[in-house]
Amino acid sequence: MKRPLVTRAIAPLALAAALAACGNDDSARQSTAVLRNVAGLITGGGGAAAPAAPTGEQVAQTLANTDQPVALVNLEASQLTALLIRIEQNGRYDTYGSSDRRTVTFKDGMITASRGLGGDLMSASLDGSLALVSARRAGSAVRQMRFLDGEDQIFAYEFTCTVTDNGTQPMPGSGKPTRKMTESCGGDLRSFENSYYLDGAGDIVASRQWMGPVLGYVNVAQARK
Amino acid sequence: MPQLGSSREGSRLRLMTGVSAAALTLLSAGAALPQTADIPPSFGLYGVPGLLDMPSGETAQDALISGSYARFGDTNRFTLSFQITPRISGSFRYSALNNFPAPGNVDGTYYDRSFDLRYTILEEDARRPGVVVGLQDFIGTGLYGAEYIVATKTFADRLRVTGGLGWGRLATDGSIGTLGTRPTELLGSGGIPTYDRWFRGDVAPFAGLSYDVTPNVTVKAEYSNDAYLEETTTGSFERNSPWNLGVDYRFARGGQLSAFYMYGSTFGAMFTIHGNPKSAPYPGGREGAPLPVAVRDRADINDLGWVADESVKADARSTLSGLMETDGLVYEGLKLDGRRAVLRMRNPTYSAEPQAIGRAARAMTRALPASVEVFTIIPTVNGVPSTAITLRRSDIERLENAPASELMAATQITDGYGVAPRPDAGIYPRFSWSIAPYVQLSTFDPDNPVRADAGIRASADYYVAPNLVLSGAVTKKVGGNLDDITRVSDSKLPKVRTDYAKYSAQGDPAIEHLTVAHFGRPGRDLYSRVTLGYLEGMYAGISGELLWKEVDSPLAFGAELNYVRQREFDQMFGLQDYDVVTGHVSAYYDFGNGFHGQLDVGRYLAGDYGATVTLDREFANGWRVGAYATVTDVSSEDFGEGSFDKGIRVTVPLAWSLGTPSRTTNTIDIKSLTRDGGARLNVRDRLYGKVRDYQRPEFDKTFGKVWR
Repeated sequence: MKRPLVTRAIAPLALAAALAACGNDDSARQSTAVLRNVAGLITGGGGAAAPAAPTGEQVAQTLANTDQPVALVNLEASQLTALLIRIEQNGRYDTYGSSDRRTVTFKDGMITASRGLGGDLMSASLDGSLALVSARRAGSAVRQMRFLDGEDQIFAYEFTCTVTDNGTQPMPGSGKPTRKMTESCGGDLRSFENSYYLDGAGDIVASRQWMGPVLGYVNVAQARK
Repeated sequence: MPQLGSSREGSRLRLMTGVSAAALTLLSAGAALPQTADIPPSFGLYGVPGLLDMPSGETAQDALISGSYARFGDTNRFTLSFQITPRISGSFRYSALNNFPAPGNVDGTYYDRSFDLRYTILEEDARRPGVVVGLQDFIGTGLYGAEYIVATKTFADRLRVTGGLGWGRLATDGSIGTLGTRPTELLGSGGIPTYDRWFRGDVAPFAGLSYDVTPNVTVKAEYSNDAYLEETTTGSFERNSPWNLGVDYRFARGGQLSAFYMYGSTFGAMFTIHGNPKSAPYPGGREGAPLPVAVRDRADINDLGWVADESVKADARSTLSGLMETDGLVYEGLKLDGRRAVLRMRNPTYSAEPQAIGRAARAMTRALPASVEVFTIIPTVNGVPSTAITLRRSDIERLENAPASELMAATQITDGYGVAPRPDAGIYPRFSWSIAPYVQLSTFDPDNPVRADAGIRASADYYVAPNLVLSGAVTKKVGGNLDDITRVSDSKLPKVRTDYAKYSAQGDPAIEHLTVAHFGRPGRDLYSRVTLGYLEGMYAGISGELLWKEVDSPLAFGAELNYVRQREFDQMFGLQDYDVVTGHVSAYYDFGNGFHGQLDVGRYLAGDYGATVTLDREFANGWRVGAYATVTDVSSEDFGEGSFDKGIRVTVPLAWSLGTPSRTTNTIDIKSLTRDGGARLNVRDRLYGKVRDYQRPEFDKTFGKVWR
């Protein structure tokens, strides 16, 4: 009884944390996961290292193993780089996925959604900007981006965007000549600037796009379009 | 005894994860705070927005939950505060005064529990100050009993000037007048709102300043009108000056560390941590991506050639079952016609039910022949079909990249009664089991801040049929101090709940429950449950329940009738002599503005008749913060300390804390005191909470997750 309060309270918790759960019922395991999570927060451990970026060999191998379009995607905030292969098409929307269940959806090269990245972009309405960029025309347009908030409810940001033509510029990475288009967007609380690199056929082959307050900017390069 | 519970689909267990989830919550939600750009106001030593000992006219952000621990001299205060609405906040405080030999002290330490309510009369703007009226320690023994009205105005974004008037404890020094007389005797046996004292007796002013030296550092000074009468007479506190000085350091994650010099005699420190259910550590969740919709080839849509081919149907079933399993869903049966499919499924994974439906629907687009246009998905609850959710496949294809609200408008929700196919052969009987550590916690009881037992729990469920389950759990204690509760119950009622120390001491190992339960759908909008056996740690018997809930109604009614006998303290198979018929009729109502109410009227375990009122603030993500009170025909003298049963409870969804899908929630239940009056049976699998998940308005609240 004379032990300090904290010891009395923590000792059983530490014991419980040390024991692993087993069984064919998942909820027991989840409870111990919370304990580990708390321990990680207090000790600062438990953070997963970002996986290494794919090498040139891996890119070549992936291209050899599929005839689908392949994109190299890099999240600036988390420095996560992954090769995504197109796994599904729905009209003008192409969904690219990784083997670890992360997907990014593009509408003719502009990102409209992501899944499994954390803080995902749920959907976007950007036909105005898309029409300008595809036509390589300057102008202004409105775009909407929708996210889930902490309460699991949708909230939408609306932006007014100005599209400008930056002329011929080397594509990042490969250095091939491309047409660079910039989309500068401003809204109530935030502003961002997307860059698109278009090839001779008018397709977006590389880009730097803003995916929301959590994910930030993402760089996309089409390894095969 | 304040308890910690954890409930999940198919079972209920008491576990420590409630506390860890709450701790995690506050830590991790702190991380999310800077995104909102809303920094909480500075908190004072009472764990509410304030200077040091004096409150301020500032108001915390809506739904903010704040925990603080302050210590100076012999005074320790732990406070949990919740901003219930944008204008109303409530606080629970547990204080320990060392070297304070008042009646009821334990080894010289006096423990006290108190509740506050604050109401924001005026929100601060450019021209006028924020004005708050507060009731401090308004239920209970009144050690901290005080009322105040206080105004705070900010100048140049850095300087805040506060002034106010106090009554009660906040008028024990520097009184400038008197408003009537303030009674000192307790109402009933304590635990009743002290309305006879509010804003009566002496009135005294208080004032203070706070100044932000940098965005992270604030210095504060106040003039206190609290004389610390009890602390200086019963205790050995020295109050040499009415002036208090302090400094706050605010962490980037939202925490606040304060140091101060109090009453010219002592230094102290305080730590405050904030969290908000509205800002999750991982908004939208961290789980893997769903499978995208597979759009049909137009040419195949009218191909009905497969309808007579059983092998096509068998392939569709096995593909669908496999895809659903990958997504954490359980396929149970499929009725397949040329144009229509009806799926029966179980969702053990997603707390946002629309997410489960959205993933099942996408799996169906990838598994079913192209001519099938109408999908009806029927999730089961307790093994019985609940709601039928009907979607057109062409809408799913067309709206995959549209806002979720467009799919919601195209979704039909009807009663699944009599519509669901039977489960495929081979799925039942089904067996599930787990062995896991548990901690049973008792916090803030009158003699000890924290008690806990820890051990191992083995549980198993055997589903003879989807809706007929044999279920049991056994615990073995490894250590703890729940059984050294020495408090003797002075209740004049049968000891229906106050023997918990005996149960803890002798129940090792204990059979927590051992039951057979049957769930049914007696008719449209009707749900039933019958449970027989060792229902909970202290009672065995039979329990029956009937619930009426329309698919799109915010109102539901239920009735429960139990005949139970008290179990032996060793929690094995033996029974004691005490038996009782207990039961309630209940009404449930979702007010639609984030608040949910429940009224239960009936007979309680001690044979007393009465009613329980419960009001919860509910968040779409599964968080709930609520309070309840039970008043029965037991007189406050017979009930004993506290006068009637009441408490607060906080439910934290595990999915919110972890960022990965889970249907497990943890409930922290802080009761004022465990007494024998107004006590209810803790039978498992009560119907309402599970049934409403797939019904309106609850289902619609997280529809944004349908495409997640």
